[in-house]
Amino acid sequence: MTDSQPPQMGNSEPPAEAESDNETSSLVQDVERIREEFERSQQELAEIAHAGRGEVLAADLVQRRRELEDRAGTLLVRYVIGQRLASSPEFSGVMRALEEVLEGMVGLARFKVYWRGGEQNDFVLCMEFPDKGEDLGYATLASTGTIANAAEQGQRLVLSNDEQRVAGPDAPLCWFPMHTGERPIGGIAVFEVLPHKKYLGPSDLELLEMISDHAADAIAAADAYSRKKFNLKSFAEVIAHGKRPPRA
Amino acid sequence: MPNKVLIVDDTETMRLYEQMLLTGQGYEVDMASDGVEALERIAVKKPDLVLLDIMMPRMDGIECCRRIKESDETKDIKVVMVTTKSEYERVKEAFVAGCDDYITKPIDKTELLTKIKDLLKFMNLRQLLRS
Repeated sequence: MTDSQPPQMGNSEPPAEAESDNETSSLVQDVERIREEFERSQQELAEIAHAGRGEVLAADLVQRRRELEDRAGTLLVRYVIGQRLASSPEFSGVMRALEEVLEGMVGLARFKVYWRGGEQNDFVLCMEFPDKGEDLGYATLASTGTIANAAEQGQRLVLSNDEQRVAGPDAPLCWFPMHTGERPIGGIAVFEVLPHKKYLGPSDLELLEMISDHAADAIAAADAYSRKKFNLKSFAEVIAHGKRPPRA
Repeated sequence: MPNKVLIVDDTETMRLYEQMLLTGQGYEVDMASDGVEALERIAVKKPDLVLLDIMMPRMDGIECCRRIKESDETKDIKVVMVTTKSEYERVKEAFVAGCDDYITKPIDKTELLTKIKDLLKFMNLRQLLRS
């Protein structure tokens, strides 16, 4: 680790050798847009701070500063999420980034990530958190039920606490689909949030929507990259190849 | 003179987020990925405050905090532990080890910035009076 420089927001370079260029460039472009908007808001905040030096700020500037600070905070979170998901061309790197983002930035305690890469075109479990350190094998999403229907339709599903209780202990709190184009290609199933968080609010759901969109691009790119680079023939091989030791 | 903050976390996502948040507020930021590296960085450039994750490889945040607070040379460094609720019981250990405050993930930026500012306020005032 080295001493910090001022935030280098421009270092969001695209993953090397990614074959799925459309997904990669879309994600990188989104991250770049967020970076530009964040820097504009920081610039305007600096101008307001300069204008108000030694003086009492006018009420409209106070309001504007508050709005900008809120907006900058949201943009920073989105930039970090996008940057992390775009930072690695390899499947294991994308999974690690996704795990860090879902736990650390959203506050999820238990979740699973599925990707439609199975031999029967089914949704294969490619990441589980907490990581039990076991081989995921070839676990797939159940083919029937409320979540299965939502997955097949590519629809978001959010259960209330009571609905989840009725559905059973293994029912997720919510399902966020991942798409390539219009086709549902995967999803994130959330089972628990961190205890002090209690529930997922509107801003959390919005964030999860954004994460699932970015994750779809990142996973598609990593799948294509890994198959080409390591000569892997199936998604099961991509998962197995990308399996890394659980975090300490 | 900007205050110096050392960010200690084994996840790249949290290091990136905390770095950008704090440098945007004018802090001088250094980073480490575990307790061992943190102590090495502190020996090179002593920070005013350490933002310390609890669960890390090689040396966890509790042990790192204990070593920071046990040394005469570093005991005045402010330590803020970063934790998830599942590690909450360990926060009690962190306070026994001498930490000054804690914050839970996902980090609320206003809460973090306020805690850091409050912890450094008295130190900054003392330096101002000395100068």
